[in-house]
Amino acid sequence: MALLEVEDLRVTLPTARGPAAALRGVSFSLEAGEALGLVGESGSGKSLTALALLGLLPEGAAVGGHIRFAGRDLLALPERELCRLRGNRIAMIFQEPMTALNPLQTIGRQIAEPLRLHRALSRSAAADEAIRLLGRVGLKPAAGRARAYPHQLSGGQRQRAMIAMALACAPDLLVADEPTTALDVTVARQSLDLMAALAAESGMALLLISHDLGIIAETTRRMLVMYGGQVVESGPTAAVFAALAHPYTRGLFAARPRLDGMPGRLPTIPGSVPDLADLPPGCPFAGRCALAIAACTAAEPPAVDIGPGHQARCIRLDQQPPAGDPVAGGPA
Amino acid sequence: MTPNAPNVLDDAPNAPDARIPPEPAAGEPAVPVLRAEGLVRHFALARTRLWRPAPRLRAVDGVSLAIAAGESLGVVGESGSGKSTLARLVMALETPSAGEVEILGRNVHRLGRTALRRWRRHFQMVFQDPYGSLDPRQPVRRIVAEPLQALGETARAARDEAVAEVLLSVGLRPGDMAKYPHEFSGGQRQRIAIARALITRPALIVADEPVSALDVSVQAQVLNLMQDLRQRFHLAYLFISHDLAVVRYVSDRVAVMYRGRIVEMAPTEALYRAPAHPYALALLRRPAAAGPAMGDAELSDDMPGQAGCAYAARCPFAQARCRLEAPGLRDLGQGRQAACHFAEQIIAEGAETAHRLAEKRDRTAGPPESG
Repeated sequence: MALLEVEDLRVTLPTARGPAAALRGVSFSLEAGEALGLVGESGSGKSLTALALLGLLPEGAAVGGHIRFAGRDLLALPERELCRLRGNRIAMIFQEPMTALNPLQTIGRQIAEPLRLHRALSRSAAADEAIRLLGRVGLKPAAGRARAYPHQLSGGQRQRAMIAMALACAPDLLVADEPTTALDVTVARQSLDLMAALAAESGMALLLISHDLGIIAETTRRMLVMYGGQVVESGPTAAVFAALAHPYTRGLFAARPRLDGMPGRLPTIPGSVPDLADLPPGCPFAGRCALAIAACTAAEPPAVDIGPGHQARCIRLDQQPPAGDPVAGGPA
Repeated sequence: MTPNAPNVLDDAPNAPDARIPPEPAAGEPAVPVLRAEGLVRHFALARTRLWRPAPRLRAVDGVSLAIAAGESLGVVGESGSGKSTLARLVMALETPSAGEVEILGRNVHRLGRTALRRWRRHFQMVFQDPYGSLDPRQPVRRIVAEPLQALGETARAARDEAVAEVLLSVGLRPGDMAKYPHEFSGGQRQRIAIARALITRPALIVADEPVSALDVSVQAQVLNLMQDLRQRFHLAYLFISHDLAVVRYVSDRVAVMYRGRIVEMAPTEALYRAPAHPYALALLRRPAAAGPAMGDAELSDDMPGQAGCAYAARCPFAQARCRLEAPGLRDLGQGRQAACHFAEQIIAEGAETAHRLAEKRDRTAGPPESG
């Protein structure tokens, strides 16, 4: 049995303009020790998926479907039970390390908190463990960094502290939502390598959410592409990069500026990400898709098998020319 | 996006416009749009020792550059490299500790308040965050017209006409001027910010991370728009970004900043083909390919006082000489400058050099010194 099974997850959010179907039937699974990438732009529902896993959806959200974690349905658990899992067996790393850390507490104390809470360690044992964790994520001198306040650390150091905090209780699942977006290129790479190494070392599963295709390519073996609250393409990372089956996946890859690209105009996807509050019926991408026909807006396209474990929600896949050159930055 | 939003997202601007700033007559020496000479900006930090003077952070530490009319200079570097401070100095939003900034030949830091406000018509800025940089309580009409108003254009009809025209040129509709920022998507908001910068027909636009907050699919639209506008209006750009791939698309030349200094400045193609400075090489190649991991550079403090190259501690090519003697920015020919003792070797051999130099170091200097 997979560690995490998400089945037909649906989330509806109340907005000023009426209910918005923010997640419209998201399904995926994640094995222990596996790294899964989740790609999407703002409004695609990727962060909401993460929040749903942690039971942190905003007030008033209506949830449907199932999230099974180690055999238990998280959506059916009372808040008290969820609290036992959160920060303990499921941990999360947020995008912005400055706002996710408490500015009034030392780094050491914040890392010790989940240990005191979930492991019932004594104050001094938790403090020692916090120092050990800081050393493990490469924040040195660890004892000195434990006494520091967040504002005394740089962005990369704060992100390392966040990683240490997330890893404190040796979780089974780590959800990292854009963990490197606020970091510089070289520091981002270090943080990712660290996360991947720690995941591999401890058999922890990693759900890595990012809009950066390069990061997904280097860190994950399997990936999902989300758009308009749906998973529009899913499969082995290498296969998705090679086929670029869904028109949105292809547009996204083409629009990305590349270091080795030719100067001049970038291919663009016309239009912008749809507002979830008034999504048109049918395929959420139809309004921006060059291949769209009337049937695309009539009904939601089903997931079509393309290869082993590789699916795309599109009824026009046969119209898509084969992918050209392998995309630079793809998985090695 | 609102349901009745216009189709504003095509790439090509659709309004013809003949008002291109005049180019200098033949024979006349062209005044650069921007000339910065020896720019320095220090910030005093909190005292760490009671009896020592307060340390200073050298945010910008001796930067000189020039941008010709219609030219686009990209500035790349990590956060803390001083690129945003450079932008603020150029925009006269901050006073330099030393050095000067000339826009079309006039030193903007010497101008009086009124004169500076009038001179600002020639240089405008586009900020990173299209959500924070537009006043949510003002309609687009007022946001975009604000620079005109500051110049003393008081007739509303004239302002509205200019707003309508500039909205068309950034791919929005004149009818959008009655709307408020929240009615637009992120990409559209950045178009509004560009329209506001464009309305005074400036010669220079300073853009600080203009597409970093945008989604990938929208980022490409805005980059294309900036390219189109540059050609149509003969604009010069100072384009600041941490993303080297983005900078490549909009820049004729690129300056790489590290710790407040330009460590390499070169034509875009040359830089991306074969960088001359190890830091540029590290940004362009994966750290794995550039030798040992970067280490926590942010750990070391930015205080003055250490001799030698500021990058030496992180540099896989560093020799004993690098720790003793700071390399100045020197000319390498073909419009290229770099601040590295080994620039020629690095251009020629790239990452290969790292291994060779490391071997040499091990042979001549014994075990590599620590620190």
